Formats: sequence, structure tokens, C-alpha cells
Amino acid sequence: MKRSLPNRALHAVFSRVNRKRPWYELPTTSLKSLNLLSLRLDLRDMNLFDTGTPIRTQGLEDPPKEVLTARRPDGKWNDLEDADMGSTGTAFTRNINPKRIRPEQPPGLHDPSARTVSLELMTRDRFKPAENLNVLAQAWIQFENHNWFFHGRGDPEDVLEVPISDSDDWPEHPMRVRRTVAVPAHPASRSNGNGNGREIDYGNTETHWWDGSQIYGSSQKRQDALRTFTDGKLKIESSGRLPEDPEQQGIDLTGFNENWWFGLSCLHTLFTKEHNAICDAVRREHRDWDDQRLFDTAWLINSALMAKIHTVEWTPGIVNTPALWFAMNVNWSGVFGQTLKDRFGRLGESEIFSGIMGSPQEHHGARFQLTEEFISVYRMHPLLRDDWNLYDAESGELRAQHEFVDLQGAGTRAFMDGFEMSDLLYSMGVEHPGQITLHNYPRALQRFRRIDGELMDLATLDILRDRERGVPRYNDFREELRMPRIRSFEELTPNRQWAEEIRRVYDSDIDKVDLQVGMYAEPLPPGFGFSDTAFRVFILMASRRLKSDRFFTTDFRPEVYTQTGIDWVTHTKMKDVLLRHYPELEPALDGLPNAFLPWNRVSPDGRQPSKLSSRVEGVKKALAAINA
Amino acid sequence: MSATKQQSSVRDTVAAGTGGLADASLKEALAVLGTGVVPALVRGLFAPRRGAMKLLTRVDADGRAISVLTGVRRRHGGEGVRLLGGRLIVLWGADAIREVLDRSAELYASDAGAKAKGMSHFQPDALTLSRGPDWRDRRPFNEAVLGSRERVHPDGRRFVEVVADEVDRMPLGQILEWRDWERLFDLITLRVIFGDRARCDQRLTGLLETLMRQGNRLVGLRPNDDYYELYGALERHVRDAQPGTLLARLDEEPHSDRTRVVQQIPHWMFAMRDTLGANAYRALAAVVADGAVERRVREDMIGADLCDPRVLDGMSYLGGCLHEAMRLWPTTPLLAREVAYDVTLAGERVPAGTQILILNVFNHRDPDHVDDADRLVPERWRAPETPDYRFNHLSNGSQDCPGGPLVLLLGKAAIAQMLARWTLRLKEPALPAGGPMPAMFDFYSARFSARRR
Repeated sequence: MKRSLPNRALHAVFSRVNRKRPWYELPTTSLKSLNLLSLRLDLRDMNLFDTGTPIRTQGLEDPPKEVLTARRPDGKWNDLEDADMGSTGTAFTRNINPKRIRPEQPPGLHDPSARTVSLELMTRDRFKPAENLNVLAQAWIQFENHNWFFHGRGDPEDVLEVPISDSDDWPEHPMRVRRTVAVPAHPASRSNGNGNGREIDYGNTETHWWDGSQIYGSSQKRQDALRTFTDGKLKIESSGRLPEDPEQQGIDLTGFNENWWFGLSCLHTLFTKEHNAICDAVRREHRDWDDQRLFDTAWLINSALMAKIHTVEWTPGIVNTPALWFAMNVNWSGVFGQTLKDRFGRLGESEIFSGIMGSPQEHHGARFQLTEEFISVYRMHPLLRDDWNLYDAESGELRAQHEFVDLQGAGTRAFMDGFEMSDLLYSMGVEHPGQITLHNYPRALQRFRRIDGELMDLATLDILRDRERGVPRYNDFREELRMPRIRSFEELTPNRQWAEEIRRVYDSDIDKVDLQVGMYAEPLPPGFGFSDTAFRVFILMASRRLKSDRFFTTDFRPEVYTQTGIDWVTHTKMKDVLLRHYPELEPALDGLPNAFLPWNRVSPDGRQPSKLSSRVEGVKKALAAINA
Repeated sequence: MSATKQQSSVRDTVAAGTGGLADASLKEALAVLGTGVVPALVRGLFAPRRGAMKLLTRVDADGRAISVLTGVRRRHGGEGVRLLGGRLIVLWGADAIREVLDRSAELYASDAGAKAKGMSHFQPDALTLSRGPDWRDRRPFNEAVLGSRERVHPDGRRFVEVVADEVDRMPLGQILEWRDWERLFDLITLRVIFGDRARCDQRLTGLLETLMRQGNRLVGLRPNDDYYELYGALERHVRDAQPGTLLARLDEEPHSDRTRVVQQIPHWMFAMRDTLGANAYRALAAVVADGAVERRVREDMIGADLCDPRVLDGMSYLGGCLHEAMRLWPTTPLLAREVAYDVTLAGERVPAGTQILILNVFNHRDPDHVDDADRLVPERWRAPETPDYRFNHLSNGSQDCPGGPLVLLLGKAAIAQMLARWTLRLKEPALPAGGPMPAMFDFYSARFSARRR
């Protein structure tokens, strides 16, 4: 492959530097940022692979007119040459050359048993909170994952048998885990080109695009069920809640409602309301637009807003270091910043100078479809709490305490009936999620009964899925991303007790350590809520999700979004969305620079801190987060 | 009575020694530190520095320490002296030393100070740096693997055969030098601990040596590539342990996650390769330097099967020679302990945090309290089962060397095999037959002439 001169030059410098020092140990923010840029260029050039269908650069047919200014529920026609790219049902691609993908087979598949890994290394000994974040940050990432991907529930008859020890109190021995369903008609699904006949292609039940499909659905049928067909709006009840799913009692009707609990319900409700608010704003400017046009435009604006919140608020919240604040803002608005961009518009096509938003669409040689590796690094279940405190948002008083099982699944709506939406948001705002580390896996998910009755240990599943889908184990994974291999358990983690436990579980073989275990064990860069290994995939995919999407690039312009829409996206933050729909949260959010930092606790005696002291407190929290 | 008070009164009754601790003057303190402690740091606490060894030998550093300490002990008597207002205590009384060593890893911690700082660089979870529950977990494991409680290690036969084979394969001309001997012990160590396949894996011992040299400097230490490489290599060997090796015993012996089995290995490596290597080399020199001693050793070897560990175990005169070499030239010049709780020692209150020094260099050769202190008297060790707390080359008490029986077996095997195959004459340094041995013996520069028998 031919690489451009600047890419090669940066690679030549930083690949040498990084042999001794990772990017985050470089002395200045600018060097760190440049190092990150170099890593991204390398990843784009070397870690994007189509699996089955190669990218199409010349269209077979002309796009229908309506797709030029609107997303489609099934994700088709985002790319005008390759209509199927990223659409519902298309396969996940890879960040690793498919020729080197080796889905694991027994006995290696169970070496060691994923259940052993779950029990010995994941089990939460005590809750370890991520004190610089709030629970909303955890709900948010699940909300976004549901935007991006789902492998489906699998077939109860097609299972893997996980060996478990005799003393294990799991009800069935061996444990039966549903296999991931492969893309049935996919020509590559039975072979990875090596003729070894192993499945490597799995389909996404959702669109791959960052199109808000968790709110809007990934099919026409689903989307139609959500719409009022009046003024472009989505259905919401007069009580301010989403309607109930007629097919699943206790669960809201929305674009994607698997794994349901109250945190997701809150976010889905919030952004459904935001959609309707956008419809009102656009309609004020365009009185003559019909329902469809209003709906399509509000959809574009709302999904761009969610992408922006994720890029410039959630991400710098969880990877909290000045280099990342800078890098994520560059992704969105460019080196010169949003203010200059607002004033003078784009300075050419460069994504560096003026951000990805509005720059030309570009796929870097492979179809935009999310990757199995991307999914692996987003397994962040330790974020979830087991024990929940529910507060009154107005008085700050503790109203109830629950275990996770009480507030999820079919019980979600009934649980929420006992609270105001603002109480639930406030309760998430002031409490911390768990740290993404070993021994912090929620008990509730290690013995979780899904709404369809299937009993599962998600920690076992997290391990097994990577092995099953051929996502390499930790050391091989790092090598594929050009990170140094770890030589010993002592090097993997500074926690000596963990080092020994991992060594025992993996029988002294550092190369057998699973990706999840390595990521949960490795020391984090300063300010980071997840591992540097996960972050590599993240660097690549975070910008790709934007750069590949026509509606964030070529067509992020007033002619498609309306000027109202562009302004809405540009000037709205998560805090604005929360306060627009729940103004009573003002005291809790006052002074906070980022809605994913822990909120102010409202004092039960009704006294409010002054504006100034709230602001000082907010800055302090932000600084504490960086210094963590 | 509160639990703490109760505990401390129990400690008092057990701990009360008599004889007292005098206060040394500042001048005495500086002299003791200058001759007893500084040379140990200059030599290198973990990996002896060749140049420093030469220099210290030239100025007879240990001889000076012995003469300074003899003067101080004569002036003050008792069990030891307090230095620098009580921050440091130097002990020489056998009762007080017994009290400290019997309660090491509990009241008297060995995981403090310079030793811990330097050793943590290459074996932070080693037994010798452990206390409390960690120590109670790791000690029986080390004892089981090393066969501390057996007269002869269960795999002793194979180990002794390894020694015989390596001595046999030794590519020796007419001169035996340190580097020949060092290589011999390198190979023995690799094969005994890791197995025959590891014979060529000198990277293992090389990495450890590098780390130990870095540990000598005590400051600015952090885990580095050598550390990760070493442990990665150790883990690979543990995974693929060969029968008849120490590693093969790891899985068999009781251990938990607290044991940190891989972290225990480096100590075995350097104790066997470096410490035993140096001691056996000096013992060999002491033996061949004195015709009478050599004859006595050879008498025991007549008709003996030198590959039978029980036969070697019975060669107590040779064992005495090895002990004497360790007594005369202790490879561990001092033992340091930190008082973990307020205690009564030698009848005096000693506050937590006080550093206790046991200067082997002096105690082993104290002319007033050790008969024939400077002479090689192998008979001294006829009944080694009764520990003598003056002599701590293998330490004593709760933290005595769990590898003691094993190193004696391997050391005796190496010396006996050498004598069986070679006629050796010590060329350097000069050791007077039957006379007083020099206070220092630089093993790096020791040389023998060698003739095959």
C-alpha cells in the first residue's frame, strides 16, 4: 500500500518514540496531540478492512431524489455510490486483516473457561466508583452502543457449551451460551479466504451509521410505529413518558429497546422530546414544510447533536486529558475552533483546520461498517452499579434504594411510575458509575435473566464473544495495532495481586490473556476512564463515524440541515438539552462545564449555593477529573 | 487491659534480654558506620562490584571494621550499642541477636531500608521482603520447594548428578579462574532450577544480574524492560517445567495467590549462582591452601559415591570447610532489621522504627568471643544442628535461609567433584596453612593452577 509522505514521516518519528514512551508520556499537549494524529493516520492506513463485499466507488444506479437530503431508516444511500454501505443487516468489518482472523474453536475456545475468567477475575469484590463521572455517562455509552450495533439475541438451539467447575452453582453444567448468528447469505461468512471454513462475518441488526437509530429505529416499519405523522413529531405521552411497547410489557416503544432499564428510558425520552422541540423550531422558519420534511430534518439535526455531545462532551469526560479535549474539538470544529468557523466558515477542506463536520466524505479505502474490534473495546459493563440510590431532585433527599434487578427489564416502566423523570436524572447525575477494571463486574450481570427468560453471565459472554468472533487475545490484539506486546504479568499490571491471579488463571501464559482482561488490568493513562489499548480503536473509529457519514461531512450544510439546524447543533450542549426539558434541574447543573461530571447535590435544607461558588465547584470537578 | 497493652507486655516478658545497650559516642558511631556499613554499600549490597572489591581488599576494609568494633565492644560490653541517639543499634550479643532473628518478619522487619529499596527492584514479593500473612504464606512454600526440612532434598540425586556432569564438562586449561567457576555455577543453577533445556538460557541469569547491579544503586529505581523481560522468561519456564527441577515442584507444593511463586525464583537463582558460587570458591581455596585440610577432605572421599546425596551429606568435615569459608568471609556482611513495634530488647526499650544492624563481618571474627576467630577450624561445625547465633552467614531464627541444606549439598558436591578430577594449587591470594586468614578474600582475583588427576 502506498502511504502519503506526511503520514510516513509522522510514522517514522512517532513509531520510534513510542517504542520507549507511549503518547501520553510525551512532555507537551501539542506533542501528545501530534502523536495521536500520527496514530490515527496509521490506523486509517493499516487497520481498515472489508470482509465480504469490497467498497463500491461507482454506483450501479442513480440515487432516488429523497435520499439526497434525508437519512433512511434502513441506513441505505448514505453513500451515494455504495447504497448498501452501513445499512441494517450488513456485516461487521474488521480492524485486523481478515486473513489473520482465527475464530477460536474448542478446546482452545475454552482455554481457560470463560466462566473461570468471569468468576476469578471479574467478580466485584467491592464497588469501585469512577469518582470523576456520573451515572449518566454510563447510560450514555449504552445509549450510543444501541445506536451503533447489535448482534441479535441468537438462536436458543444453536449453543456453545462452556465447561464449568463442579463447585460452580450455575444451574446447568456445562453452561449453554447462544452462538452469535452469522450473516446467512454472506459469501464470506463460511470462509475468511484461507479456506478454513470458519465464520467471521456477523450481521448488525441496526444501521452502522451514527444516525440516532436507537431513537428512530433501523427499519421503516419500526420508524413508522414511532411517528405521529403530524408536524414531523415522534410519539410521546401527555405524561411526558414514551408510550409502552405493545409487544413487550413494561418497556418503552422506541427505536431500539433491548437491555432496557430506567437510565436508557430517561435518555430516550429526553432525545425524543428534543426531536419534537427541533420540529417546532424548524417549523417556525418553514411553515410550508410537510410532516415528512420536518421529520427528516429534525432527525438529521437531533442525530448530529447526539454525535456532537458524544464527541465534545462525553469523550473528554471519560478520557479526561487536555490533549483529548483538544483532539475531540479538532475532530468537530478544527484547530482554529468553532468561533472562527462560525465567523469565517471553513478554511478549505482540511479536517485538521476546520474539523470533520462539513469536510468532504471519505472512507479511507474500506466500507464504513463498524468492526468487531470496535464492539470488543466498548464492552464496559463494570460501569454499571449494583446498588442504586434514588433521590428527590428538588429536596435532594434519599427516597429509595434498589438493586439493579428492580429497575430494569419488564419492571422498568412500573419502577419509573414511582418517580418524576427529573428525580431519575438527578439520581444518575449525582452518583458515580463503576471503574472499568478487574473485580468490578456488576453482580447483577453475572447472573442476569434477560427479558426473554434466558439466564446469562455477561462477564462469561464478554470473554467468549471475543474468542468466538476471532477478536485476538490481548497481546495479539496489541500487536495488530502496533502496540508493544506485554512480556510478563508483572508488566501487565502494577497491581501485584491481580498479576498473580491472572497468571494463575492463564497458567503462566501471558499470550493467552483475553483482550477484556488485559484492558481491565492495564494501568490507565492519566485522566482516562478506559484503557489505552481500547483507546487505539477508539481514535480510529471516533473520527471515522463522522468522516464516513455524508450528513456529517459533504452534506452538513444549511441547504440540507437548514441554518436553524446547523445553529442548533453548533450551540447546544447536553446541559441545554436537559434544562430545556427539565428546567427544575438547574440547581444541580449550575456551574458545571460538562453534564457527565458529578452534578451538584441539592441540599435538603433548600439552601442553594451562589452562582459563583457553583461555577468554582464545577471548575474544581473538571480539574479533579483531569488530575485523576 | 487493652489488646495492645496486653500484647506489649507479652512481648516484654519474652523479649527481655539482659546485658543492656550502651550509647556509643559520636566518634565511635562514625567509626562503626565508616568501617562496618559504608564498605558494604561500596561493595554493592546485591551484586558485588569487581573494582570495589579489589579496592576494599587492598585497604583491608573488613580488618579495619573488626578492629574498630573490637575496641567499641571492649569499652561498652553488653549486647550492643546505640548509635546516633538510638536511631541505629549494632548488636553483638548472641542472646540479643537470637531475640531479633527469632522474631524476624514480625517484630523485627526485614523489609525496610536499603535492602528493601534495592531488592524491590528485582523481587518485590520475595520471601525475604515479606512480613505478616505474606510471610506466613511464602515461607512454607519456599521451605517445601527447597526441601528445608529434609536432610537431603527429594531431587538431590539429580542435582548432584548435574553438578558432577557440569564439573566433568568444564572446559579447563591449566588455570582455574573465577570466570570458569562462575560459569560452572551459572550452568548448575540453570539446570537445577529450570532443567537441562535451560542450560543455554544464560539470558535469564544475565537479566537478573543486570537488575541486581541496578539495585545496588538504591535510588532512581523503577520497573524497566529488564524486569519485564526477566519475569516473562521466568513465567515461560514455569509454564513448561521439566521434571526433577525446582520449578517442577511449584505446582505440587501448597501455594495461593499471595505466594507469588514466580517472584520467589530470583532469590534461588542468585543465592545458588552468586552467593554459593563465591562461598564454594573461597572454601575450595581454603581447602587446597592447607595440605592437612585437603588430605582430611580427600580421606572422606575415598571410595565414596560422590553422586549419592546421602554420602555427600555425611561428609561433615567438608561441610565444615564450607561453613568456615562463609564465616570467615561472609557474603552477607550485615543483616538489617527494622523494629516494627515498640519492644524491649536486651532489657532496654527500643522504639518502633529503630534500625538494627548485625555486623557479620565483626561477629564472625570477634577475637574476644570466638575461639581461633581467624583460623579455619572445620571441626567447629561438627554439630551444625545447634544454631549459633553469632554466625549468621545463612542467618538463623525464623528467617534463616530456607535453602541452607540445599546450598550445602550443592557446594559440597562441587568442591568434591573438583577435587576428584583435578589437582589444584592456589596461586592467588596467599592463604597461610593453619594460620590466620586475611580478613578479606577477593574471589574475583583468586586463581588456581589445575592438573587433571
